[in-house]
Amino acid sequence: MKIIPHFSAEGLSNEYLIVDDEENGIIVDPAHVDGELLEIIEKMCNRLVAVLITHKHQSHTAGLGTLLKIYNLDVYAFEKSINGIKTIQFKDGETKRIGSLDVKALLIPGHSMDSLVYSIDGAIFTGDTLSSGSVAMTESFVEKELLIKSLERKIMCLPDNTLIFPGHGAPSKLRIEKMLNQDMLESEAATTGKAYRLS
Amino acid sequence: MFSLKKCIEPGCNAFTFDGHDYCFHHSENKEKLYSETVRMLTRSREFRNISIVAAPFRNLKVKKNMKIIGSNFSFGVFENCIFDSVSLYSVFFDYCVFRSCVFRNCDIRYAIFSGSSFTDTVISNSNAIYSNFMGINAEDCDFSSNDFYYTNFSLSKLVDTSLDDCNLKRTSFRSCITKGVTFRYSNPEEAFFRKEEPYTIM
Repeated sequence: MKIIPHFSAEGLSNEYLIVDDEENGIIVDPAHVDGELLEIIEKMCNRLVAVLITHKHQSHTAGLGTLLKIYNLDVYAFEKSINGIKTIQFKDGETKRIGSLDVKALLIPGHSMDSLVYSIDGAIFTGDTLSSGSVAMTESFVEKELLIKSLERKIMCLPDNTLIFPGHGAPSKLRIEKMLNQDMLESEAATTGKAYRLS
Repeated sequence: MFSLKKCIEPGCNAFTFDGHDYCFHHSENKEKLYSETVRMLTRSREFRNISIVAAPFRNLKVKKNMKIIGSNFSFGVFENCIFDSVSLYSVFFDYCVFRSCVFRNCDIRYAIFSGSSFTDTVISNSNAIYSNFMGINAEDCDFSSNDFYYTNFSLSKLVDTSLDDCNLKRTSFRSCITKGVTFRYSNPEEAFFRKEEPYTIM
């Protein structure tokens, strides 16, 4: 499996092209479709087969319509439709075979109620839920708590070597986030009363 | 990206060396893999999709204009290594030790240096964008004349290190400990700091 990140200036978000061993391509979060992305797709894969949407915010989906004008693709998401386009729905914890890859979706609500994290072969695509050093913005403390609890229950239990490809910012590894994610550490400190900061 | 298959040695969670069943350390022909890696880094034009964890590299001069892509050097030790005009894309250097190394005129994107220790190391005249330097320890380092756009230094400890003449737009220094750090001709006002931890020298 190859993972090729592409930075979208619109929404400052990351799009990813995943290419399996049979050279089928999957796009994660088509925020914006530009010439550079199309060039990467044409160069790296034989056939683009699917789009995975982590959540419906425009900074992650605005390029979906353009992509579907060019390629005939299955669109996977938690919601029934994205930007008026019918999707194949993922349920929490469900695994689907896409190309030659097993794609597992984990529902991590908080930033939005439809936020999915996709787990593929030791790598996770976290959308806005988890970035390097922080968790997503939420509208209230209740949602923040929901987000952190979901991350602790479903993501932090994955192996330390799991690679993290977030919707914004630099990639990471789960080991790094367990040690250095400030939002998660702050939450833990608030619960346990233990300080975490470097001295 | 390097193979995400795990080493088949019981209890080992490391990634396998490209095309092998074992990780670098559990491989029977470890020395051969190591010399092949060094040969590729010093002579090839491209180094791609290799995972070589906890390997020591000393006095290594990476070939000029080399592209290192989708590779994993976690827990490595780099001493007196020179990366001149090297492109580093999606490369993992997490929890590494860099002593007296030089990264000059490099194009660093989506690279991960989290948890690493830098001593007497220079990163200069380089792009180091969308990269992850979270929780690093840097002492007596020169990180000047770089573009650190969207790069993350949060929870790092920077001592006697210069970040002069750098682009720090959207660079994060949340909860950094800084001592003897200079930002001359840089734009720290466009970076993220905690309110209680201003960017002035402490």
